[in-house]
Amino acid sequence: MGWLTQISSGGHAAYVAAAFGIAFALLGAEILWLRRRWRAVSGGNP
Amino acid sequence: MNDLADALQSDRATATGTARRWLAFASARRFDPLAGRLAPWFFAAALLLLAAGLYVGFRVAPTDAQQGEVYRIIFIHVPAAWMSMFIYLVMAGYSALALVFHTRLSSMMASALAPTGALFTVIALASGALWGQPTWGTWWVWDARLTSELILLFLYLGYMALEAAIDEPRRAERACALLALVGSLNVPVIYFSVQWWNTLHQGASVSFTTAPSMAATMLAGMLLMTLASWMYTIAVALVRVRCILRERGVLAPTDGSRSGSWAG
Repeated sequence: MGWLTQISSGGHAAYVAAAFGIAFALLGAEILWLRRRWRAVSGGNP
Repeated sequence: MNDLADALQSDRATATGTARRWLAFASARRFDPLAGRLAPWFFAAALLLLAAGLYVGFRVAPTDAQQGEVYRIIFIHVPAAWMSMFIYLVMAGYSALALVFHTRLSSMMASALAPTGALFTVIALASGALWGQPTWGTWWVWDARLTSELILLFLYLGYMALEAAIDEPRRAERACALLALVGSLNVPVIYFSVQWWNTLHQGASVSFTTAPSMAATMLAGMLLMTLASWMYTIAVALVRVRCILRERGVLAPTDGSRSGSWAG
């Protein structure tokens, strides 16, 4: 876990985490929204 | 002379055959099952490349001598910014095809790409702000690179709003195609803004003409993340086109979905 300690050092880890967090949250939301859209158009199939 | 004429005719027949084979995929009935088969592979490739990109970006790439660890935002910021520009150019390309050849599938591909392009633009702007605060001391400045990227976001939003505002699909497709083509002029402005104007945003670390000004492992991480974004975009666009084909009544809800899966 030394690399994690190393990356978290310097006081800016929150900025990096927020940048990746926002990106993954948005892309995840897009996939969920697309899945719902597909269900709606394909007659309720999963 | 007869031999030459025969050879020319044969070449023309081969070219026509090749064009016809490609044009066959402009048919929704041919394209839809192919898109369904390909999408899971692109999703899988995106996941694998993402894992590799994160591993290289966080475990292999060294700490930056000037910026420390915060530079690792580059592994999401630069791929997102590249994708935001690239997707818009691809949309413009599809729009041009739709206007010239009247292929509806091209318009649908452009339409399917717009939300993902907008998303990558938001990610580029948000991650840029999160990088700017610790390194520049500010979340936002009205410099040419940031402002032109913000205009790109408005172009994506405008494209989607225009499409939603026109009820008749063919008219909407035409209007959106024109917007995509005119808006694509903004992409070179974004790309060259750091050369044309004096900006707070740094110049390009990677370009087509010069060697990259960064460590090889940093570049590798960035390229892997870009490839992952690319695979993700293709997968999502394929699934979205399948939705659009059914929403616009080109295909019936059950067409081409043997298992009923969204990507199969």
